[in-house]
Amino acid sequence: MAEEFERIVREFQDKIFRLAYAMLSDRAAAEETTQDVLLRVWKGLPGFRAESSLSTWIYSITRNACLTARGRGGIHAVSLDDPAPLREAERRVAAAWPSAPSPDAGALLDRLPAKYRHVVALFYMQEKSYGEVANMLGLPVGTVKTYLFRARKSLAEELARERVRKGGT
Amino acid sequence: MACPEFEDLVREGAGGHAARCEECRALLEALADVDAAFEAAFAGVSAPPGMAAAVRARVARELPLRRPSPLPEILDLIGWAAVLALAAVLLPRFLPLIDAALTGRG
Repeated sequence: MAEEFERIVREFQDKIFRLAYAMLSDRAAAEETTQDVLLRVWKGLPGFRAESSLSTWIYSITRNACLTARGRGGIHAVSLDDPAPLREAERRVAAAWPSAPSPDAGALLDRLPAKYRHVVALFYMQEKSYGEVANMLGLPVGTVKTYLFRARKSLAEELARERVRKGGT
Repeated sequence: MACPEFEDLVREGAGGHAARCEECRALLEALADVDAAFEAAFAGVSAPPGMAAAVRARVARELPLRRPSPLPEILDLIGWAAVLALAAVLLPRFLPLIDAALTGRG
């Protein structure tokens, strides 16, 4: 089991970290969650039956661990599904955007609903692989493509409008 | 000429309708900037170098907690002790019978 676990750590630590980082938007929390996930994998490995693929099982543990971590409340990720954080995020972005010729990725992400934000962040972390992002988030590939398209379109339109309003390029 | 849908605009690229339409060109430029910002922020993100070692350390800390319980061995010992005690009590009772049986046969 030790060898098998070492192989899993080597193969999955980056992917687990990326998924956690995309879901939590916090590097320290993603590190802690990655360790928690790998520990859970180690504990669960003797009982793991190959009814689902190993990666599906590991990503499912990761998503649950991220939801738990967010529930604990120590994470600073802003849920844009709630109106109050949305207004706060818009205020922060409005303050950060106008003078910046190149947009800031964090400010851009803050403009997106959580479900789009996870897909966008993970897509760029995972070398733009729709299939891998879909597997990691447990979503159909078509949904990943749709979310990504809508997110990029919405951000590009907003940025272009903002630049016209401010008279920039 | 009407501006194309965003999807068509992206597919055509800068050489298509955007070459003649300043608004669409600005939109494509904004999209390129959005993509570049995300690329710069997220491409190559990976777990910190000490991750594997930290996980190994946590597994090592958990190992003593997962050491098998000594209870089965203790129960085994009690069981065998009971069998031996029973044998010690019963054997003297049956010895004369065994002895008689052996003598009678002889």
